[in-house]
Formats: sequence, C-alpha cells, structure tokens
Amino acid sequence: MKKMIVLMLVLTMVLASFSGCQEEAPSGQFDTSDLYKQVMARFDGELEQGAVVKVLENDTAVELGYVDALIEAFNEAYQDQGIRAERMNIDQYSDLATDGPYGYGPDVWYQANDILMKYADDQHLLPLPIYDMECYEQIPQSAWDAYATDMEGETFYCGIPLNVQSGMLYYIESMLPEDWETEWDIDSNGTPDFFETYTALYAYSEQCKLGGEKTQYGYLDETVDTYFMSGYLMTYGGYIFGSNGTDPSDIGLAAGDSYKGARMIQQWAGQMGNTEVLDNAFSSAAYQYLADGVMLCTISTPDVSRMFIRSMVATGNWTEAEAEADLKMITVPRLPVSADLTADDWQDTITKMDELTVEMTMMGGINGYGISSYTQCPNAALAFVEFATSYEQAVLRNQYLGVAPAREDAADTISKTDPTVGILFDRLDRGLISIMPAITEIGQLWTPAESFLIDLSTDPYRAERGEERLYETDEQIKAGLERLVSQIRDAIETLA
Amino acid sequence: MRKKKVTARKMADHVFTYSALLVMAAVFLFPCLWLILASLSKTGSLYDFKGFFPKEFSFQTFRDLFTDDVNGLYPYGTWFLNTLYVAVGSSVLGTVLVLLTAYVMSRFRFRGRDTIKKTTLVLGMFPGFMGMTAVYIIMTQFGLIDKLGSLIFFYAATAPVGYMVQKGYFDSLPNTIFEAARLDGASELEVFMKITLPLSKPMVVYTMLTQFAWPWSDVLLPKLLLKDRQMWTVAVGLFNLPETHFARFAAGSVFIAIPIVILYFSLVKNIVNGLTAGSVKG
Amino acid sequence: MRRNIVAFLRWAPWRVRLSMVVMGIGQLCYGQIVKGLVYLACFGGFLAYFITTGVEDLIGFFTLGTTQENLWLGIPGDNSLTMLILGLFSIVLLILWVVLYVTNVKDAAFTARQIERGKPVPKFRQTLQTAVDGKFHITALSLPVVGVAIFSILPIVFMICIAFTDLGGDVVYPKLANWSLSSWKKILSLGKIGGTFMKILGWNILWAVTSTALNFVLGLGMALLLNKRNVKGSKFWRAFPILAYAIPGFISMLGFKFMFSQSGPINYYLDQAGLMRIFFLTNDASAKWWARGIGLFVNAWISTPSIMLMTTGILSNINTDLYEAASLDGASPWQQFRKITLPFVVFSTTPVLISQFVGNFNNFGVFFFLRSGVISNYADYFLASDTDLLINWLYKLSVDNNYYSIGAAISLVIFLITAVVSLSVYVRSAAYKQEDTYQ
Repeated sequence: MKKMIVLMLVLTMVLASFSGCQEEAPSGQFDTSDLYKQVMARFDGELEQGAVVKVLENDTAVELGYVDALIEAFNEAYQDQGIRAERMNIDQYSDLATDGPYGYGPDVWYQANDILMKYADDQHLLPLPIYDMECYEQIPQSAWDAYATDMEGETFYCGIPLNVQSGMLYYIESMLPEDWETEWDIDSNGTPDFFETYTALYAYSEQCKLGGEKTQYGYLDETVDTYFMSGYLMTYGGYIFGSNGTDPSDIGLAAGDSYKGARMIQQWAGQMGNTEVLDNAFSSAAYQYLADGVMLCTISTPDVSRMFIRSMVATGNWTEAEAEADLKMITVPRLPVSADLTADDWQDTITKMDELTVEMTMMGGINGYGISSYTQCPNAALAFVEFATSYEQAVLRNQYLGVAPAREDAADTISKTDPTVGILFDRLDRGLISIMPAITEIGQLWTPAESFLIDLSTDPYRAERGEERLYETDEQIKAGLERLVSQIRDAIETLA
Repeated sequence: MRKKKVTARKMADHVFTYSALLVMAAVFLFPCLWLILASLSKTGSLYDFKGFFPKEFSFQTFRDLFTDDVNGLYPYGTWFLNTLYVAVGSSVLGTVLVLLTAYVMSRFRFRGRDTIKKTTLVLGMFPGFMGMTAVYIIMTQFGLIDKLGSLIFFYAATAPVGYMVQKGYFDSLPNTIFEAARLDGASELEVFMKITLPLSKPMVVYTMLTQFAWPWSDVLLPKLLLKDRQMWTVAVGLFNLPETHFARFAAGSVFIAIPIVILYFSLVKNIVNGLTAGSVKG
Repeated sequence: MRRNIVAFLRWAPWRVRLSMVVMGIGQLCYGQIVKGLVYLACFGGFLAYFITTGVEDLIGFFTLGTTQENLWLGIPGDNSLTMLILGLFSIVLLILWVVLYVTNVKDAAFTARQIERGKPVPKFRQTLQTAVDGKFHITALSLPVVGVAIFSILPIVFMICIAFTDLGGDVVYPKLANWSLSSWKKILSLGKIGGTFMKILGWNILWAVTSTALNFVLGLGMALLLNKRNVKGSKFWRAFPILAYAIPGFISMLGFKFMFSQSGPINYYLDQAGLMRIFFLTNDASAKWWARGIGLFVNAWISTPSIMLMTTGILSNINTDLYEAASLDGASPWQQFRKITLPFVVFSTTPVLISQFVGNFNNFGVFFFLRSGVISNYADYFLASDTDLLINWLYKLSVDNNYYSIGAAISLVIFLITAVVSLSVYVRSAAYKQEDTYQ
C-alpha cells in the first residue's frame, strides 16, 4: 500500500516537473513530499566533476578481490563523466560519528544494516532517493525496511540493500556418513534427515558421540552467539524490540514461550559437551573444524563460505574446485513443536513433519550501502551506489563471495545454478528472517544477551563440576530471560 | 663430619637455587617460545594446533608478512616503517624534553617548582583514555589526523610528565662538578650540554629506549588518530588482525620483538643504572 | 598592591607607556629591534586570533552551541565538543596573552630603569644569553610545559568540564550539550551505578594491593636469586626476564589470552589428560577467580622484570660492610635480609612503589586485552565484568557506550581518591622529605 502511495507521489512529481509548474503543495500528503524534496535536494543528478568517491568496504570482500574489481569497473564506466571511486583503506568498523564531523571517513560505506542504521538516528547517514533508483523495484519491501527511519512522520531510507544475511547450515558432503541414504533418508527426498529437523540432528549428533562416524561431532555451534541463537527464542514467540523493531521500550526476549527455545539452546550445549563453543571465538574456529572433520555441520552466514573453502584447501585434502563442490550450504532444520529435542522419535519428526515441527525463524541482517552525510559529492556517491547495486554487480559479488543478493532478478539468475542462494530470498519473503532492528538501541543487545547465553550454556556443566544448577526449571530460565531484558533496559535507560 | 654437613647444605642450596632459576627461565621463556612456534604454523589458524604445537611448520607466514598484504589490508612492512619513524622521532624529541625537565627540576630551585612537582605526580593518575577525545579534537584542529607526526608530538609532549626517574639520576650527580664549571664561567646551557649530558649516558640511553619502545605497544591512541591502514603502526595493525590470521599475528609480533629484544640486551647495563638511580629518590 | 601600581603608572616613562598600549612598541623605541618585533608579532597574532575566532570561541565555551545542525537539510550548526575544546583553548591563550603582556611591561620598565641608572640598553644578544644562562630554567622548561599543557593538561581539564555537562547517551553530536549536573545526580542517587561502583572499587583495591605486593616480592626475589654468590652465569639467567620485558605488553597479553582460551593449548592438554576443561577467561561465574588470578599472573609476568632490574641495581648499592658486620655478629641470612636488605630496598623504592601502586590501580591493559567485551550479568554488574577495574568500566561506559559525562564524573571521583592517597603518602615519604638534604 505504502509503495503504491509513494509510487503515485513520484509519478505526480515527475508529471509536475514535466509540465513545468512549480506549484506550492496545498495540504496533507504534499507537505511530506515537500520535506522529501528538501531532504533530497542535494541529489540533483549533477555529477561533481573531479570528485573521488571514497568507498569503505567489507574486509572479506577486499581480501577476496571483489572490491578492487568493482572499483575498477566503476572507474572504467565513468571515466568520461569526470568522477572516480577509490577504496578507502580504513577499519571496516570505522566510527562515522567520530570521523564524519571532522571531515574524515568514507563517502560510501558497506556494512550490515544494524551498524549503518546506528548512524541514521543522528543523521550521519543521508536518506537516499530510492524511488528514483533502478534497484528500487527489484528489492523486496522487507529488505528496504531494514533501512527505514522516520523524520517528522515521514519514512526515509538510509541505505540500499545489497545482500541478505542469515544463518545457513554448512556441511561438507564427503563427510556425510556412508549409509545416510539408507539409514538417514527415510522420506527419500535426497536430503539427509538430520539436516531436516533438529530432533534428527540431535539424534545423529548423539550417534557421532559414540564414535565410528567420519566426524567427531554431529553439529557444533557457538551456543553463545546472540545472532544465531536468538532464532530459538523468536520461533517460540520472543522478539527483540516491539512495533516491528522500532520501540526500544518494549523488549521482547522473554515474551511468548521464548523460554522453551532457551531450553533447547541449553540442550544443545549439553549435547555438544564441548566447552569451546562457549567462547565467541568459536565462529572463526569453525572454519578449521569443519574442514578438519571435527564436526559434520555448523551454522553461519553465507558471506563466510569462502573462509570455509580456504580452510578446506589449506588442509591439503581438497583443491579449490573440489572444495567449492563439496561444501554445501542449506536452509536451517525445523524445530520441534514440543520444544524438546529428545521428546520425539526423530523418525516421527520426518514422517509427521508438519505436525511435529515448525520452521525456525532466524535473525538476519541486510548488508548494504549507505552514504555519509559529510560527503562532498553526494551525486557521485549515489552514482557509485547505483553502479554497485546493479544486477551485474550483484551477480558478480555472489560469484566472488557467495553472498545472497537482495535483488530479485539477481537471486533468480543465481538460483538457476546454485539453489542455496534462493533459499534466503525465499525465507525473507516468507517472514522467516527477522531483520535486526534499525535503531541505535540494538547496540545494547549483544553483550548482555551473550552473557546470558554463556550462563545458560554453561549450566549443563555445573552439575558435573559440583556446582548448583541455575537454569534447571522453566521458571529459572524464564527468570533468566527477564533478568536479561531488564539488563538491556537498564543499559538503554539508566544513563540516557 | 662438620664439613660434610656444610657441603650437604651447600648442595641443597645449589639444588634450590638452580631449580628456582630453571623455573624462572621456563616461565619467562615458554610463552615467547610458543609465539615463535605459532608464527611458524603452516595454515596460520589458531585452531590448527595440537596443544602448543602447530600441526605443520613453514616459514610461509614470515614471507607473506612482507610479500602478501592481502590487497592492502595488512601492509606489515609499511606498518613497521611507520612505527620505526614514530619511535625514532618521539625518542629523540621526547628525550630532549624529558632530560631538560628533569635537569631543571633537579638543579634549580625556583618559584612554582613545587607546584610542577605535585602537578606532574597528579597528572599521571588520570586515566589516559578519558582525555583521548580531547586529543583527537585537538589533532583535528591542527589537521594532524592520519599523520604520523601527531603521534610523535603527542608522545614527545607528554613524556616530561614522567621525568622523575631522570631527575633521580641527576640528583645523584655531585653538585661540586657543576659549581666548578660555573666558576670557570660556563653558562648554564654549556654546563648542561658539555658536562651533564656526557655524564648521563646511561640515563640518556635509558630514556631513549623507553621512549622508543612505547610506540610499538600503544594501541588505543594510534587507532583513534590514524585512520588509513597505510598509516597504522604495528601495534594497531596486529591488534586488528582477525583470529583467522593468528600466525600472521604471531609472526608480526616475533618480528618486532627481535630488534627490541636485541636493543634491550645490548643496553641492559644502562637500563639497570637508569632504573636504579631513578628509583633511589623521587 | 594598588599603591604600587599607581606609583608605577606615575613613574612610567612614555616608552613604557607605549608598551602598555601596544606590546613591543616601547622596546622598539628603546632600539631593541628584534625583541620589539617579537613582542609586536605576538601582539598582532593574538589580536588577529581574538578578532577572527577567539572571542567567538570564548563565548562558545559558555553556550556550548546555540543552533543544532541538521545534516539532512544541510542547515549548519554547532558542535558542542569542538566548542568546548576551542573555548578552553581560547582561555589558555588569553592567560598566555596576559602573562606575555605583563612580561612585556616589566621588560620595558627594566630597560627604563637601566637607562635611569645610566647603564646601556640590553642588546638582543644579551637577552639571548640570559635565556640560556641566568634564566636557563625558564627557557628549558617552556617547551615541556607548553607540550604538557596542550596534550596532557588541556585534555584533563576538558574531561573535568565534560563531567559537568549532559553530554553522552542521546546527547551526542549533532545534538547540543548543556552545562548540567545531571551525571552527578545520577551517581549520587546510587542505585545501579553506585552498587557496581562499590563492587568494582573493592576488587580494584584488592587488585592494586595484591599485584603491587606480588610484583615487588617476585621482582625482589628474582634479583636476590640472581645476586646469590653461588649462581654462575647470572647474565645468562637474567636474559629470560629481560626477554619478557622487551616484548610489547599487548602482544604478551593477547598471547596469554589465546593460551588460556577455551580452544587454547592449556585446555587442550587438560582435555587430553581426561580432565575437565576449565573456564579460565570465559564469561562464567566460575571463571571469576581464575580470570582474576590469570590477570595477576600476566601482570606479574610483564612487570616483574623491570622491578628485578631496578632492585638488582639497588642491591649493588648496599654497603657490603654491613653484611660482614652482621655475619660476625652471628646474624642468619634471613635476619640479614630482614634487617639490612629489606629496609634499604623499601626505603629506596618508596616513590617507585607508589607509582607502581597507582599504575596498577589504573591498570587498563590487562583486563582490556584478556577479557574484552565481557559483561557479567549473573551478579548485577552494570555494563561491567567481575574482573573489570574501575578504569575498564569507565572505558565501557564512556567509549563503548558513549556515556561521556557519567564516565568523566566517575573518573573524577576515582582520581580524587588516588590523588589524595598517593599525594599524602608521597609527601610523607622519606624520599620526598630528604630531597633537599641530599644535595
């Protein structure tokens, strides 16, 4: 609906400018479009001659050579138009609020939406004229929403979505048990059952513990990572901030039956029986461990697939091409309705999948480009963003980095050869990816939540260490979540 | 009988002494050895180790350190030269300022001297980073962001706050020498240049060394003042290396540690003299 | 005082009066060309500065900005932080101007008196000579003082000012800050912040005392060990601690962090031995004392070598006759240590011990590198972990979470505590009292 109104607005504006009449907007909706015009005034389409657009990109994209290719392509395409782009070689987590006001920092910045949008509240990022952009139609509204912010009741967008990030299950095909097709594919759908439901994955992981499999563990993951683990809470009714992530006074991590999800995180921690997963450094250990056959599968975001491949090649057991073919990235398994990984027979969760399991909602992010408010060349910067978010570049970025594009057409093309990328797009469409809220307060979520998850995941060890268990009952877990919520609230409100 | 007892006691003493020495040596050597081992890891990941030992050894990381900067992300050679520049600059400039301050505070009695003494004592107690925002803004006003000069200025300018050690040394020089020189008609500047400095070689060396060493380990301030990776110092660069590049971290650490360790070893006598004299009196 | 000034004004010859109006003119009239030009240039510089930006900066210090910038609509505005700094800067310059002005008048008056007494007017070369001779201490100190003032004192004054504004949290650029006591109210109302403050303060004191004592005992022990007569090749053995001394601190600390991490070698060997892995630095209640202990160990590893080197030197200064006399009196080695060595070493190192104590009290690095990003939620720490020292907590509050004014206010409180304690100890210490009797 909103889209329609906006489209009509744009159309009227275009018509108005065609007919050359610059009438004062009389009332209501036209006032807001007046504001829109004022805010967008600096995007007049005149490329600043001689401007050099400073682009701050993601380290991995730099490391894998994509950024240099992108900038070279841009410079070639625009060499006749008097503007150039240049990679800004500074820390990818640069602080725009510290740099910008004093004339430092990038013109164009690629980051995750939560990091970029931290700077939108205080206007360090510019709202972009997205309706006039070529990519506007191609990107779903749910992705745009990750960059939405309000000013005087009107919604502005401070970033251009480029790719969708959310948890995917990684595994190496040649590490699958030899007998998976006979023993672990009872629905004969060609996907191992233990990648279909968490109950089955739990059962398989238990089996790995007994030994005799190719890997030491079935599933290992950082059970203390807020980004990946919050999915357990959200699937059972938890949420981060109310009103679609815009209301920081409503913290919903303890809402609904989220404690049930928390209990399963604890079950996993106990099952894994490996204290390395209690350390947030595990995510970088995971590349090595997957390649070494420590575990069969783990969950991570699509943008790190190259890191897995690199670790595989480093072991000497794969060539680059073999590793690319052998590494698989699929959608995350389904969670049991019972919210207990051991309550059901794993076979039942496969045969009666719809009845016994639900799809898991995962936290996700939209990485994209923002333009700094301190830029001296907004039009050149916009031209760069247009170029970098084009269909060709989205496909190319996927080829270099394996990321899932937010553009529909690019996702379509890639899905033809590589079905895994389409999965994320599909999940986003079906609301199974809960995008990180685009407000500053999100910054207060991570550390307290991680502390809670560590506390929770350590609990299974307390008994064997002769300590008192802290999260044995549902009430205790609920109380723990409540405490977490009040801590986040304190961090947001006490000193504000 | 008695002699035997003595030797037995001596033996016990020997055993105790040398086992204590061995423990000490092991405690200090082992972590360093581990870093060296880690720098020789072939895959470079921290998670590719069997306990303290990498699964496979290779000198590749050391080669990569200088030949492969991963598309400009980790230009170690540049970082090294940057740090060397800052270290030498702040060492020379800072030493001059510290020695002047210490000398004046030691030899002269003037109004405001006590204030300066107490102020500097108090200054050292402020948490440094609380003023970092201010230093950052001052540097932006001087246009010194992303310039190595900013660090030299800062390190050199704040060095006099720690003049106490040097002052202690000057205190220990006999006053009669200065008086004799003054009687011969030497000006104060000449006394300082021609008599004090030559007598203070260990102190000068010690001061230069401490000034020289600091830029290699400071992380917070350079991180704020130097934006461009090509401008970073080694400490900032190493601190920002992701865990997946652990071997690079280790190799980079070993590489900067070597020259500093050699410097320390060759100048250890001066350090001992400097530290001792400085500590004896405040 | 006033009478003096009146008398001075009555006496002052015209050239001195000229200097009172425009700095340096009087000197020029006396024929002191270079000096006069220098004063004149300073005068012009100051004047230009105050006319162009100085007055504005000075006003900005009090208002902290009047119009808020709107970056989206491109409406320019003020930046409170910059205005605060520039305001302070202008105050410093103003003071400097006054000082220079007074010296300028005094200098002109001095010349006038010289002429009255029939002595020649000092030449520039002579002025230079006094600068390197009679007034050597002032010349020598001027550069260090200016440097320290700009890069050390100004930032601290800035911080103190911040404690009395509402800057931080929501109030960050482009929003404008105001002078306010709000952060003090928040601290004094206790509650969350107060509770955490007391808890951290307790640990902080324990840490400072323990680590100072531990480092001192270990350092002295090592020095004594290496000093033993039966040790052969003490230079060789001494090399090991020096190795640790030479390695940049953050490298050692990060190395230890990896060593004690969950995937680190120590836990690996525990695992191989069939033992349970230990949460050394993990964010868990059981890690509290492990992490604190590791902190003490790492800190000792880094700082004992320098104490060792220092005490080695001090030990060599002890008069050996004392020991011989004691031996003859039948004192055991332990008694000799207690009665001779220890008092001498403690006496000599009091100032160092104080600075070690203050340094440890404010030891930022150890827990910043060992346990970054950890917040202990199990024991109601507010944005802090159970190993954090006050200074680490301050960092989390003011740098990680942008609560500038609260952070500044707390650091002021901490500073007052440490400053009062160490100043009073220092002033009472023998080393301070005896300073002048030594020479």
